[in-house]
Amino acid sequence: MINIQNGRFHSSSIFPLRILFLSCVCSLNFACKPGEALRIGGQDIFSFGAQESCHFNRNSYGVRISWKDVTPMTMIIHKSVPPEFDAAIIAAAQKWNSGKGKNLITVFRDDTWDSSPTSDKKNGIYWMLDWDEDTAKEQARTSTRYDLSRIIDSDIRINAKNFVYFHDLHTMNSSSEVHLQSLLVHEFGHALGLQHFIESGVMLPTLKGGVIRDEPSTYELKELGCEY
Amino acid sequence: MNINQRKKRILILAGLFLFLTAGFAFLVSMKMTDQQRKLASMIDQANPDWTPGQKLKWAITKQFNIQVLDQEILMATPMAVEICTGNHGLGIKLQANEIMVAGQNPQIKISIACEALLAKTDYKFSIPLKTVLQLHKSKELKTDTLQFRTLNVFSDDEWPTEWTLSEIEVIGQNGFTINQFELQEAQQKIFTISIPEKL
Repeated sequence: MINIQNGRFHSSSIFPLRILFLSCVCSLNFACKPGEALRIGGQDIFSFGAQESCHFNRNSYGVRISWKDVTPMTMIIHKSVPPEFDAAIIAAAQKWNSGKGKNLITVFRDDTWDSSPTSDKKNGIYWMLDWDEDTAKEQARTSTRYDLSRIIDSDIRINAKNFVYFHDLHTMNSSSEVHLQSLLVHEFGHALGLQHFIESGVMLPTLKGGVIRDEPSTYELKELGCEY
Repeated sequence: MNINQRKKRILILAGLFLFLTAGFAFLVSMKMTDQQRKLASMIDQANPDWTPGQKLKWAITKQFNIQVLDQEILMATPMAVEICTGNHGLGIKLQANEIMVAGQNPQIKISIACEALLAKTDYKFSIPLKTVLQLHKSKELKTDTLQFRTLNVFSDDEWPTEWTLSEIEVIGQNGFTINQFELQEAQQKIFTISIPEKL
């Protein structure tokens, strides 16, 4: 990935110079392999051939969609979430941070914040007591908005109507209960831009009751490295 | 540094600049022709090596049109007769822009039976926006002439207002699909339509 230092252009005379500089690097080093992208203003706006997906969604120009340089992504625990689950949510975020060795996700609670899940450039985790009957089997859902190639908003809804969640095996009352930390590790993966994996790992599309699966696999961390 | 050395340096820098500019222009042209090269078999309609099926697909792709007008999505398929020969329907897939759910874009699939398509003498088919917007609450809908199905469209999520035509499917024994890139290549544009949340 070719990067411009501060990603911003200050005047029309500097912009073409940066393009020229980057093209110089490409031409001299023949570094423009398929998938190389030009990042300008924090956006990948030009790709030399479609990028490999690395299990990220791509826009119509074949460019992967992610937070780009705008990390850490800040997730706000909405007041609807029972406080006893805060530790599990924070631990879920740490699984990705420690796996990559960098601060990708920060989580904090804000009980004064009263927004509902919407495209407001604030990333929230919500405890939903109402859930569509058609999707009653869905444990959670992450909706992500993006602009060109950069994610600008991610909201996680947890289905508290149809599921009961547990912290650890000592607090599990029934094998149908869902391990919240495992669920959040999965949803944070989506919030970062990852799609489902068919290989093993936290990004498998289904999580059975009573199962603890909260460690991103080596492969998942490698794929995440395509963007972070 | 004397004048000659300075001149030499300027010449070297100028030469380097020209070389790099040419290199950049080359890379840009390679990028721009990449899609064309990939779809080389579809570019030349008069290519005698094309099968009748390839020529038909190209012609359908070239002539297809979709736009939003006031209260409807208007779809034009001048080759409806050819589409429906040996087939029973036409499907289009719309993909929401700038929103993903669980890493996938929301989608709407609309299927039209050939009987309905051929009933229109001008082969222009209208899809009421009012019906499309019901999909915000219903996963599937059926009318006399149309079938709708959604993926990743949820009633408690905002309605995506910007959609791209991502696929056309001819449904039937001689069916085939036309993807977004083939459409782009044939028509030199991406079909993007706006569907407001409220009419």
